[in-house]
This record gives sequence, C-alpha cells and structure tokens, in this order.
Amino acid sequence: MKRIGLMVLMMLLVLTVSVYAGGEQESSEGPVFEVSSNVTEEGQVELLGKLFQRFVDEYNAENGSNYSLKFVSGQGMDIINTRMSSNNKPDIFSIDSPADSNEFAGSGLLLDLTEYAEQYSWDETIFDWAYSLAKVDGDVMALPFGYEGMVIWYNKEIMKELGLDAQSIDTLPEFEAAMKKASEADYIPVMLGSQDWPWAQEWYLSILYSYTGRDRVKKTIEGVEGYAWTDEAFAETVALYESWHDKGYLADGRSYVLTSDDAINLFTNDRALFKLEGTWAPYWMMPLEEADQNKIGVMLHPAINDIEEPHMPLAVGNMWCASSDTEHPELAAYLLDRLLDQDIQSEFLDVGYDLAPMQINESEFEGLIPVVEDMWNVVNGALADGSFGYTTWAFYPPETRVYLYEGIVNVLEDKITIDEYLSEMQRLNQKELEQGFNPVIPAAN
Amino acid sequence: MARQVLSNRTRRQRLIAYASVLPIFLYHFILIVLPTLNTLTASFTNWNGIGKKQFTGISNYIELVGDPNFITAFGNNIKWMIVFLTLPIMLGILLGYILSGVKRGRLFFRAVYFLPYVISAAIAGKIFAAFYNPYFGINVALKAFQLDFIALDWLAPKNALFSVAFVDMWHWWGFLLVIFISALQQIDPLLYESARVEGASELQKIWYITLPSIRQTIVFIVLITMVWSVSTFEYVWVMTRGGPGSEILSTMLYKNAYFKYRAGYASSIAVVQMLVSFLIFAGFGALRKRMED
Repeated sequence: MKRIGLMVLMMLLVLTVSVYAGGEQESSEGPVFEVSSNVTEEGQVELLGKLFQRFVDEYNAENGSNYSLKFVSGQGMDIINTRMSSNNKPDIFSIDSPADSNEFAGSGLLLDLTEYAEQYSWDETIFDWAYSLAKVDGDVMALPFGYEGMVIWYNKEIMKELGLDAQSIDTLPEFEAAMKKASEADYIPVMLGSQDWPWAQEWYLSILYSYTGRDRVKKTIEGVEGYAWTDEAFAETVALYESWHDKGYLADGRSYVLTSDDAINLFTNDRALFKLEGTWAPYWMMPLEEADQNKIGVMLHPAINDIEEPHMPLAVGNMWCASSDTEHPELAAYLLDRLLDQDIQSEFLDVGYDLAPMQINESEFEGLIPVVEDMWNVVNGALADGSFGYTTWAFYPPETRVYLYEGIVNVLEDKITIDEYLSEMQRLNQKELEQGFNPVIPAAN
Repeated sequence: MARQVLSNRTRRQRLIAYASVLPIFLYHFILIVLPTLNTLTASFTNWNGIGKKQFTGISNYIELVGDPNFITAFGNNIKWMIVFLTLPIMLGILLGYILSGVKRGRLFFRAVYFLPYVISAAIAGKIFAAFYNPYFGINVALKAFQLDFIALDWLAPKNALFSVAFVDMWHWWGFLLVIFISALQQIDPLLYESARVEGASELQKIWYITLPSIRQTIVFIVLITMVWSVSTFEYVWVMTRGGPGSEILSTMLYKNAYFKYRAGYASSIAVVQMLVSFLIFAGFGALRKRMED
C-alpha cells in the first residue's frame, strides 16, 4: 500500500515537473513560429492575431511550408526583457522605442535584418527618418512601426466663449494670453495629469525641449562638445514650465496630483481649455458621444521662442524586431515586411493601432471621426514638411529620461533648483554615453 | 531480528517522508532558491537585464549607499512599516474583541469587514484615486461639511505615501480582523468569567487576559507586517508608480530593472530587501525563543 502511495507521489512529481519544464513544443503540424506583441487593447490584439495568421498561411502557400503561428499579446517591456534573457525567446517581437532596440542590439539579441531590408526595399518604402531609426551602427536591426507625436487638444466651445481662435495662437505671447484668459474665466488653461502616469510630464517636456532647439537637443544627447543640459536655453525653458505651474496654468498647479483619468474627465467635462496629449488620444475620444467628440480640436503646440516654429515631437509606436535565435529568419522578415502593406493600414486605423511609417494613401483615412481625421492632417502635414522634433521616450538615454520626468516634479515642488535638475540630467546623459548608449537621432529640418 | 525489522520500517518511513517533501522542496528550490542565488550574483554585476553579466564587485552596493533615492525609498518603507504596525493592528484587535462578543450576525460583520481583502489592488487603487480627486472626490464632501482644512491634495508628494498606505490598510485590516477573531475565540471563556466575578473592568480584561492570550498571534502579525512592509509594491505602483513622495524600495527596483536597464543595480536593492527581511526574521526568532523560555 505504501509502495503504491510512493509511486503515485513520484508520478505526480514527474507530471508536475514535465508540465512546468516542458515549455512550448513544436506541434505535429510543423514548426511553431512565435510572434510576441506589446498590444493590450482587445480590438488591436484580435486584428494583429488575425493578420499574422493570414500572413503565415500565405507564406506557407507560397513556399510549401507548414508553419503554425503562436501569437502572444500584452508583452510589455518588463515581460519581453525577461523572455529575451531566457532561452525561450519569441521569433519576432515588438518593443517600445529605438532606445530599446539600441539596447537589445548591443546585447546581441537581434537578428541583423540588413539583407532582408534590401530584399524588400524598406529604404524606398518607409520614411527616411524611420529608416535611420531602424539602424544600429549602420545595420538594420529593427522595423520602426507606427508614428506618434505630441500635439495639443483644445475645447472648441471654450475657445469660442473666450473669443479665441486656435488658428491664431502661434506664438508664446498669444499662448500665454489665451491661458491667462482661460484662467480668469475660471477654466483650467492646460490639463495634464501624471500622478498615476508619470510619463505624462515627459509629454510636455518633449515639446518644450524640442521647441528649445531641435539641433541643440540632438547635440546635447549625443554629447557634442559645447552642448549640455545645463545651457541657459534649457534653464529658461524649465523656468517657463515652472512659471506656468506656479500661475496655475498647468492643471491648476496640480499636474502631478491629478491622475490621467482625472485629466481626461476634466477636459471632456468642459473644465479645461487645452489638454496636452499625443496622437494616441483618440483611444479615449472614440467612445465619446458624437457631440462631445465634435467639441474637441487639435493643433500643434504654439512656439515658445523665435528659434523654432511649431512642430511635432515625434516617436515611433513600436520597434518590431526578430530574435537572433530565430531559426526562421526568412519568415521573420516576410512577416515584418507584410506589416507595410498599404491595404491593411485602414484596418490598423479602425482599431487605433499604429500605422506603418510610410506615405499612406489618403483613401485609408476616409471614414474616421472628424477630430481624428483632423489629427492625421496635422500629423501628416508636419511629416511632409519634415517638421518633426524629438520625444523623450524615443530618443533620450533611459536613465536620463526617467530622471527628466521624475526630477521635474521636485523642481515644481521647489525641492531642487532648476540648475540642480539640469546638472543631474547632464551627469546621467554623460554617464550613459560613457557606458555605451548609442544615440540614434535623425536630423530634423 | 526485531531490531532489523524496526530499522527497515524506520528507513521506509524516512523514505516516504523524503518523497513527500520532495515535490515542494523542488518547487521551492526552482522558484525561490535558484532565482535568489541568481539575484545575489547579478547584484555584483552591471547586468542590463537582457545581455551578458559583467562582474563589477561591490560597486552597486557602494552606489546604493550614496544614492539619495535609495535613502528616501528606504525611509518611506520604514514610514510604511510604522503605519502598518500601529493603526491596522490596533483596530484589528479592538474590533475583533468587540465582534467576538457579538452573538448574532457575527458572520455578517466578518464578511463585511473582510470584503475589501478580496478586491484587487488594481481596482481598489483606481477607485480610491477617484476619491482623492481634488475636484470631485471626497474633498467635495469635506468642503460641504465646512471641513476645508482637511480637504488636502491627497496625492500630492507630501501626502501621497500616507494616502496610498491608507488604501492598503483599508484592504489589509479586514484580514487582520479575521485572524484576531480566530485567536480570540481560542481564549477560555472561564478566564473572562473569573475576571468578571473578581470585578475586573473591560480594560483590565483586555490587558490581563486578551492580549497575553493572543500574544503569539500578535507576534506573528507584527512579523509578517514588518516583512511585507519591506517588499510592498502593488498599491504604490497602481496609484502613483512610485512618483515623488511615494518612492519605495520595490518601485525603485522595478524602475531600475525595466526602465533604466540596470538589472544589476536593481538586484542589489532586492538583496538589501532580503537582508532586512532576514534580520527581522532572526530578531523575531530570538524573541520567540525568549518568550518560550
């Protein structure tokens, strides 16, 4: 009896170990190809899963292969970092930014896609700035996908009530006058909430630093001699931001007390004139009533000096990469290239997913709600002019970036001075360059 | 012969005992011991979390000691611990004492107080974040009752840690209550009866009967509260992401590991957390031994 008990126990043990240690096996139908994506929105997950399945089926039909697809979603940077440091890597996967693909490539985790990029003529398909982001030390290591930028949203009704016209708010005096008017009328001039989403602070700082001077930002990040975060130009910009906070223009002086949901609620409930957010904002506009959607307008943030015209700080939504461990590089490159198909871009638009960074046919934008259509006009207009700047999350070294948005709250709280804040940014930027951070920053017009 | 039979039986019993603990030992070894050793070794490297590890000696620990963020985060963990060692435990004991005397509807009260414990941190965090909104949250109610002086910016850096701790306490103390009620029910009612006959007051009953009788439970709760305070994460992450004023060791660790590509440095923070937890366990081990003696 005891022997039987012991045997049952051992069998259970073996079963447990095999369940946990077995991992993914190739199915009897053929090799499994794993695609890992960071998307979490239900519609986007469904669409990507469906599209990749279709692409794999077509590849199998064209090549007589019998791959089966394993599609995994919701794989944020924490998960993908862990997986890529394990022996169980996906074949292709998406990560957040060029700074991330830079780090991954430096660790030898990415498949060199240069020959496939040439085979599929990516350099002729995607925008030049995007193609430059694909490269690390001259080799194509990722496919930048999606483009997003910083814009400013406004409430058309409040704008009208205050006798303002969005088209004529272009300069700093005009912008400050509009904010003053809104504040006097008991509206919150600019809404921003970063309590549960600290990255919201960097949305605004992306604009302000880029507007300080794109060439200056680029050279400062690259560590070019004679440029530093401690320069007077940056100090003036931070002082301007602080003055808006102190005057209550910036979220009533509570930008780091309000949450991201608070910011959306207060803006959509007609409590704020402007809302600072990027081109991903349609995700919360789509579910609004039509009348509420129509109240919202979009524009580029007005200039803050005479050096830079209003422009759009730009970021890529994703970097699609292939693992250096993949045993199916041909299929990996094929799937990445298929994401650039013109005729699937409208499907991406429908679910609010990123668009391929390439010239999209105008017909693809038809049928969108007016504010989203307006937004794409602003975005595509800025891109056509080469009028883009640099978002912090796409181009800045990682530690510098984190300090940038966390440290600013200490400035606004008067816990540190502007000089101390910028000195620390400079120290971290310098340290990261010395530790091997390789800036990939396309030159802007 | 008899000794031989006894020896075989003992050996078989030992074998069964080992076989019984083997699965859980393997489970523990694979999921706890190995990752812990991995973390320990990573703390002596400049690992970025995805690439190869390069040995850097104790440089991470040297940096940690001089890192003002670490000092702040550690201090916030201590504040968190102090808060959790006082209010929820005192409330748990007091209400447990009251509820253990309730004859009818005891289950109902227990369920009501325990309910917050089954709500996930993500949901509770979102709900309370809305309560804390300065424009339409509890401040509106406070102002309506002329209590403007306590209508604070609850999630401002100077209040954020305690505001988040309050939410975690709201969730946590129902669990404590159930534990304390279970302990209180083990106390022999005759002791209270004797005290009543002797004319003891309620306070004297609590002091001389209740507290000494549930001493072991209190020690256990204090122990887990201290250890969990060192590693607490989810409420702070959900509500403030460890932003200014509410940075704690776990959020600092997470940011270093996943946003700054400094997994080696993050590992050194984890090792410090582990050491502090060990110290707490060791301290309590010694205390328990003294209590038993």
